[in-house]
Amino acid sequence: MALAEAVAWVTAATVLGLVSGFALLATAAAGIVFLLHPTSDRRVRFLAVGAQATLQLILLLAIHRAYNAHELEVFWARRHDAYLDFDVNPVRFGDELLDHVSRVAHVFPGNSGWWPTLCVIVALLGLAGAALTKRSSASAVRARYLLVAIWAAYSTSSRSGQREAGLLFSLPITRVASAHHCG
Amino acid sequence: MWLIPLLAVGLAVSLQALRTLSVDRRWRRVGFDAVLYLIAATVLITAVGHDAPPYALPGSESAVKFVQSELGKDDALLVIQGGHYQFALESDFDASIRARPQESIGFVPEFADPRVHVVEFAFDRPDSPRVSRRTRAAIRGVNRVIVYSGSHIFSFKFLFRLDHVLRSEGFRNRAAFNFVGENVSIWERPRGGAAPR
Repeated sequence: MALAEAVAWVTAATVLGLVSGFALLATAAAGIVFLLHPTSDRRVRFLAVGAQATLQLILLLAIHRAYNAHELEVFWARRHDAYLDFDVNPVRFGDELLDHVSRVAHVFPGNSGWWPTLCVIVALLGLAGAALTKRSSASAVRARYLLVAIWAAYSTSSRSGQREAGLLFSLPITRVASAHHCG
Repeated sequence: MWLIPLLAVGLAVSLQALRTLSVDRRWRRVGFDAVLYLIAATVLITAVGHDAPPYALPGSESAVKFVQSELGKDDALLVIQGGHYQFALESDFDASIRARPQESIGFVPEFADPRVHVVEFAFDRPDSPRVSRRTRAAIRGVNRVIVYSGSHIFSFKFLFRLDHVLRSEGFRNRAAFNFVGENVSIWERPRGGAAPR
């Protein structure tokens, strides 16, 4: 990767991340995947993603100062059960996770009962299989990207995760994404 | 919604893997494809057969036009939180944007017309005395109040509180209108009736 390409990456990711909270999370996930697939350009990629992370962190700081995160959290929690409640009991937490994840499929026709849950489980298994088996193919990179994106969305929508990571988890994206679109 | 690609790509990858398993027998592969096409057609047909879900915030344009036609020069208009954004969009009142980082939504429309008052409340304190004080200040000296509330009424507790404030100030509810998702009510102080002190 040449320096010009690195600059282009940082510029594109930063500009796209400005569009919305969803785009910010998506570009951050792309940065992680970008970093995980180096050829002989590990250093340049590291610098590019580091610059992207720095710029997006500044953006996050600006966003965080623009609204009351606590009030927004109260709203999403009360109205939409937006957050994952961590439980040390793996069965209970698994049930909670499944409940939230299945909401991803609620936008599709026939979205009642066990059908959305089944669709999401099959999709996640397919992505996991593709991500683990085909090391450098396009479909493997695509699958890894999507898995990183959903991991980021759900880890930031966990109450315990928010406490641990502070500012990052005050992102509006986590509220919107978890409440409306991914549970 | 933004995670739909995850579902679409994930399901496609899973189906592709299943198809690969049946690649050694041509008739199996053809059968697999046929079943998938059949399912896709069924999904499309069942989706087309239903009425599309209505827009989540209908009626704001007609409700706002009605409010504008009803608002007299000596009236007060209370625009309740949850309806003030669509009211700013749909109305002809001059509106500007004010930053307010202390609230969950970091900006709010402000109206230049002194008759228009945005009434807001905190989600966890819908009946705070501060809100009541602001409401009383907004309706002071007027005998007719129009209340515009959008479809996003987050707190019935707040509405009860507003109702109590208006009644305690001597107002009576004269009419209520529903515009699908929006609500407009008109309150008047009886002639000769003074606000209780």
